[in-house]
Amino acid sequence: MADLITTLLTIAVAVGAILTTVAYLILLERKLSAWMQDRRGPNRVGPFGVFQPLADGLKFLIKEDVIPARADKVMFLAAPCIGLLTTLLAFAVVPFGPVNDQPAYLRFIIAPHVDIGIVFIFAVTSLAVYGVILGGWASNNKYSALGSLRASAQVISYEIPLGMSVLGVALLGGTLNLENVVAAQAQGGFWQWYIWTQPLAALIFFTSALAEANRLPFDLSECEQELVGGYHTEYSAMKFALFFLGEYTHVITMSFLTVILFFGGWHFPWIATPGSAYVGAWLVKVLVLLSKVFSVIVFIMLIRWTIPRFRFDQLMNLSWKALIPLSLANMIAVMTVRQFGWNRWWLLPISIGLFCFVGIIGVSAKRAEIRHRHGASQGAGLHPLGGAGI
Amino acid sequence: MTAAADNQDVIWVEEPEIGFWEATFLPAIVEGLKTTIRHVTNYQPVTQQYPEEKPILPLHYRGVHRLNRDEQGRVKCVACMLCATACPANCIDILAAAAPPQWPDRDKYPASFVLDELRCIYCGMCEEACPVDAIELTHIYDLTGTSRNELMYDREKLLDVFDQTKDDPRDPTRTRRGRLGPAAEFGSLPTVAPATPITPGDRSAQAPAPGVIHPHKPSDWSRKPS
Amino acid sequence: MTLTAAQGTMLASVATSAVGMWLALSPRAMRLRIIGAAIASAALVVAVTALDGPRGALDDQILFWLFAGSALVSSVFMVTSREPVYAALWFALATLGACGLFMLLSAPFLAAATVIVYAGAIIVTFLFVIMLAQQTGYTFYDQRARTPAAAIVASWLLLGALLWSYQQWQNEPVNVAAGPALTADANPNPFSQPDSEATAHSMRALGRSLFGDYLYAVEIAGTLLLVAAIGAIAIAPRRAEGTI
Repeated sequence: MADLITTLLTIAVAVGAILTTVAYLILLERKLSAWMQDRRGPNRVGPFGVFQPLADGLKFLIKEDVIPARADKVMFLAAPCIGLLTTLLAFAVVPFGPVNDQPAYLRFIIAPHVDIGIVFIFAVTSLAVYGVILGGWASNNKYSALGSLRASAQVISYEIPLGMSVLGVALLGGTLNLENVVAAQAQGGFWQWYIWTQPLAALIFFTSALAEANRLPFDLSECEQELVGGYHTEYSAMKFALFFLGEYTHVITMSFLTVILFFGGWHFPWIATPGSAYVGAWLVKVLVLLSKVFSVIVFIMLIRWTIPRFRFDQLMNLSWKALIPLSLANMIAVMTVRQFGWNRWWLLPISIGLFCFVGIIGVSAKRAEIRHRHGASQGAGLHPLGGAGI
Repeated sequence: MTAAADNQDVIWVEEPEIGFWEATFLPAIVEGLKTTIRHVTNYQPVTQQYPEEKPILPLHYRGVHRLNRDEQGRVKCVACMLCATACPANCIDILAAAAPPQWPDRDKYPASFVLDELRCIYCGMCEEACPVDAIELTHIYDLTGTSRNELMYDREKLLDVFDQTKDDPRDPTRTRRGRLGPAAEFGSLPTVAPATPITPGDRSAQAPAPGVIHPHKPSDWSRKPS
Repeated sequence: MTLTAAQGTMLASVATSAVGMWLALSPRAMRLRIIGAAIASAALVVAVTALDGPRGALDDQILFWLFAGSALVSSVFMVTSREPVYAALWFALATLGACGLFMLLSAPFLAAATVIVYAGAIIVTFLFVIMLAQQTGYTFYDQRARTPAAAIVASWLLLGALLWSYQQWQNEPVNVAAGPALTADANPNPFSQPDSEATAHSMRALGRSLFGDYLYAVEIAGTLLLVAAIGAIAIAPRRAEGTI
């Protein structure tokens, strides 16, 4: 019974916190983007606009709900629900605090002891693509359907490097359970954070996570310049809000995962270690984790407002021709190091070497292509227009 | 090289060679991030917080119209229809009537002068066309109304605008022909000679001041056109 | 061979449901189809009652019926749905029901992996093809069943055989030594033995078993997929000059 109460309490707190955080993340994004563009963000509704999310929520609730004629009503209504449901469900195995020494009735993970932690998250987020597909298809709008096809192709292409980049961490830690991954990093200290031995995997994971969440620079399928709104063109009011909630929840979950998998979770040297036994240590650990996640989220927003977006073929090239071979090579490196018992620090120069190697291949391939194109144009007397991808 | 390549009209543009680091796009990302973070940390917003900070309007800003009064308080407009003719949006509607007898120097006056502020494009052609400096555009830009009828300004409303803005330094009153008000940068405009020679029968060109027509002399009517 | 009452009931009801299904595929009157479907489903329910139900705690049983029931209902709707996109979505639901059953059998990794691969990628590919090829409604080849008798005979034979053997396994445990070689323990790979009973169903045991006992199967399946991928690249149309 106590377990049930604890679980329900944790679920309520976690879901409530996520949804509120999502609303305020939207405000933070608007403010941050405004500061980057030499303007102020929303500052009318409250001091520094802190009540703006309330105003936005109210607006979404009272806006007119438009369902296009001849749209498939059931699928139209189900698509944003699926999008939000799966991304919220993925948060069930993410620990947002220490899971060992905290007070009773406080549990910092909704579903503890899930041995397949990371795989569960991938399973659930791979179901999120249904929201995208159905949203576009059910809108009775050609451009939405095209946008949804592109978006789903992007999502399923980037699921692969997302999973494979995490396999290196799983192999090094010997576990898929997220609590054990954090524990392994915390036990080893600052220099055992997986960012030092798996920098390439961290880069691939972060990039793929951005692509999975349809964030810039990968938001071709939902940007205004391309397809009006892509798969959520026809959505208004609360359904549109659900899509956006799903996207930001995905961002939050991926930030949590980045911190937990590569940056040591709640570990901080000297302040929040596994041996910390002072009063309120659990609170400090929670705050350390949240501040790390917050900085990752701010970094994601900075990236969004800095980098131009990818073209669709460049996006696909990046996934299939760059990220997947890189993550495969990284996994082979980890397997080699584990099998032959080398020191784990060998992975750092191996990762950097792989990155440089792939970069050199990319550059020489591009140069060869340019030379080939010049050769063809010299022979034919024509100069073909357009450039290829990366 | 083919003949097409030797053609001076065709310029071959080479793609710049891309180095190793540029191909990874990481230096570009870092440069971009430096720029945006610099904007966040050296925060200099260019936003003007309206309505707390009002904009500084340029000189001769074209806002809401007004009908000027002369020294005796009468409306200066003589219903010559020049502004209505010049208006590109056809928003001025004038109904002329005979001036009241106690105005001996006026022949006509506008019994009804309706200006549709919603149709107006605020180009200032009416102000330039008016020969008696009757209609002018003020600096008022935040004009609102709750219905379309409310924004069809009639003569009384336009005179009311004059009464409210005649002392505002942003709205120079151009009461002297060829001379601008104290807010203008230059003191006067050069007088303009007539474009064509004046024929003897041209009564308006011989008038001492525009818009003032002498009471007609019967001898003028009897003159036959030459 | 003597039949117990339960076995006889099961065989008779399977045969009845075959007849009912044949009626349900009839291209003639709608009433015939409804009657046939009713007969088929009722007879199948009777056939299944010859088997023992799930054992275990109450909540496990509830979960079993939930997952199994949703899988069955979803598959019925998948087969009978008029819209192909709906059929694909019912397929996804049926897969999720099956994954729930995997979870109940202490195979969480298998459940998650099936969701990732099947519901997350394969059915999405189905949806791609449907959305690009045939959006709505029946096509001309969906209008009626082409060879209903042969189809029903084949599938109901299989169903009857499955139910029969499953019912036998429930009553008598499998005699491994006397059975065919598929169920006998081949030379067990010491590498794949679980450390203890506690880890017998964990990921570790699964990994050891996959790459210990069944290494050849895994490698051959991987090679098969590689051949398929290479074949796809070979079949794909050539791109413009200057690209790979």
